[in-house]
Amino acid sequence: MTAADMTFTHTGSSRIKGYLRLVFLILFSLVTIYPIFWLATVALKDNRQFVQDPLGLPLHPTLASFKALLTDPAMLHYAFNSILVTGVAVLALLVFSSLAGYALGRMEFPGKNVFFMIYMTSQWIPLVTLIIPLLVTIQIYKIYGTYESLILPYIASGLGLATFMIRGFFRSIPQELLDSARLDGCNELQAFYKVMLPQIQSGLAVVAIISFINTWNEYFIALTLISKEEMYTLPVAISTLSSIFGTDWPRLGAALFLSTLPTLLLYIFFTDVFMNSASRSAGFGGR
Amino acid sequence: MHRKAGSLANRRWVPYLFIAPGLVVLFLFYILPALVGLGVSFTSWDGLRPPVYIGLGNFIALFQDPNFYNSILVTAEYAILTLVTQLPLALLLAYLLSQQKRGSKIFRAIFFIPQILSLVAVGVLWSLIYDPFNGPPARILSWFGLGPIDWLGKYALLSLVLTSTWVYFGFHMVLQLAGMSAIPSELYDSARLDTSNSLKVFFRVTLPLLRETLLISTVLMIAGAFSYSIGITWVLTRGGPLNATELLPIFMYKAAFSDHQFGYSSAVSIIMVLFIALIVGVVVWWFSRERIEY
Repeated sequence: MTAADMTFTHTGSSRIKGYLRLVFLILFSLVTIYPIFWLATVALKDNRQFVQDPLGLPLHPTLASFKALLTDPAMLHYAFNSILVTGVAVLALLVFSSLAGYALGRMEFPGKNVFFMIYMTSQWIPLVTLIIPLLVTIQIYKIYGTYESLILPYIASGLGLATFMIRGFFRSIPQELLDSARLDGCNELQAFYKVMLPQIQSGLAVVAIISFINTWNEYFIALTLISKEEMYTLPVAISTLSSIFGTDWPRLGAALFLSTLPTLLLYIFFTDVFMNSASRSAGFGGR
Repeated sequence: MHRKAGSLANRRWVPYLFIAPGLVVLFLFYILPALVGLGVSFTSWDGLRPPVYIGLGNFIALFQDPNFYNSILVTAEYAILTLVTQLPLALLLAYLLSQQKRGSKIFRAIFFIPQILSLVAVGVLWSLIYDPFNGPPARILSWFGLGPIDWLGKYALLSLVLTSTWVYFGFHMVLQLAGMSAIPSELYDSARLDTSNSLKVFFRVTLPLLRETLLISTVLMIAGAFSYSIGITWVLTRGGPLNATELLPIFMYKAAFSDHQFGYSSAVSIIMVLFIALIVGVVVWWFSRERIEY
């Protein structure tokens, strides 16, 4: 019998309390999960089944809506846009933030605090307030209507959080490791990528996941900076779907499901990463 | 000797090499746009003809604009409503989970799920849920012969709060749970010598020591009302009906892209940034004022 069981069977009243607590938690979980569950049932019906019974379980589940979406060239193109933009942005974020996080965390140089504060601007100026000036500046830079016009602002807005986290990971490595690397004749660059960088691999994974989610889900900048339909990312495409698919809710439900699938899978496999970054209140401010 | 001097010289510029790539992107796509936004806020500009400098004209006009006051009021209402629904809920669930031995990780993971969905997906999903004909609440009410609730009409702001509570309560719960687990168990032991009432222990030990995490949650919610509330709101209501859910970021967006008043809109975003800076400043001051000693 474990300590937990001991307290559980301690008195009758605490046992009842335990059951009540469990029942409440289960009920609340069901309420939380219900909208997503309902969406799944909608996506698995065909339109006729849905109209007859919007609420019930799909009696004859069909993957027709999913198939239709996955063979729709327009949808595949939106997915490609999202993958391209997110992929490049996350890679660049990893490179830039590990360089900067290392310098700001483990090096001494004049102006360090000022540069750290500059790196943190994106943490207290929300991206939404920059919509208009971004539209102006990307026209000045002559990159309006290109993928870069999305990717570069995404890198800039994610850099603060990524650098902050990486800096923390680098700081937690013992100094002796760096000293011995320098004694072995490593210069700063070699010490960085041969000794220090491999130490924070799991930290890099955390930053990659958080950056991926924030970029993949971003909506407002993409909505504003992209005008051509062939450049739409998935969130922008999804927001226009209800007017395109109209009353075809199963198709709409399937589209919502598919667009969320990558983040959902990441969450299922790396739940702890999400929990840890949330409890450090790093948060998802970028959206 | 020569080699050592070389590596020292090496070290002097290497840090700047490390921070340079990010700094360039940050400058071109965050800091410069922010300065451009500040500049535009002092002009009258329709986005087509060249901007005209009008000094503080936009800010003066803002403070005479009833729609601006409406937006501030809506934002404040939204912030207060999300606070009073999410914070107690997050606190209650965090407390229950801290007591729960079995399966607490699974419950925690389930409560967090809505947080990871994109705000667009959430917006579209809830627009289906709030549908007066096919939505689940409308269906269930009709079993009892009750008419549909006008979710996105008369009760639009409350519906928005409900949806964003669904999205964010799990995040704040995880935050509070982390705060609770940082409280040393000796404090509970000594408190239990005085009283066996667990409610009293909660109010005497847990709540006061959670002050910091509660404050972080509060700040995130208030700042959220000024920034990322725009996503769900835009998809669900576009700020309507009329301007009943016109939060400040929506007001800002409409001024630019419906009314083509880019200077006016930029002035609103400057005020939003100042407000967020004020909130963050107050919190930083609060934290540096006194640290909690365990």
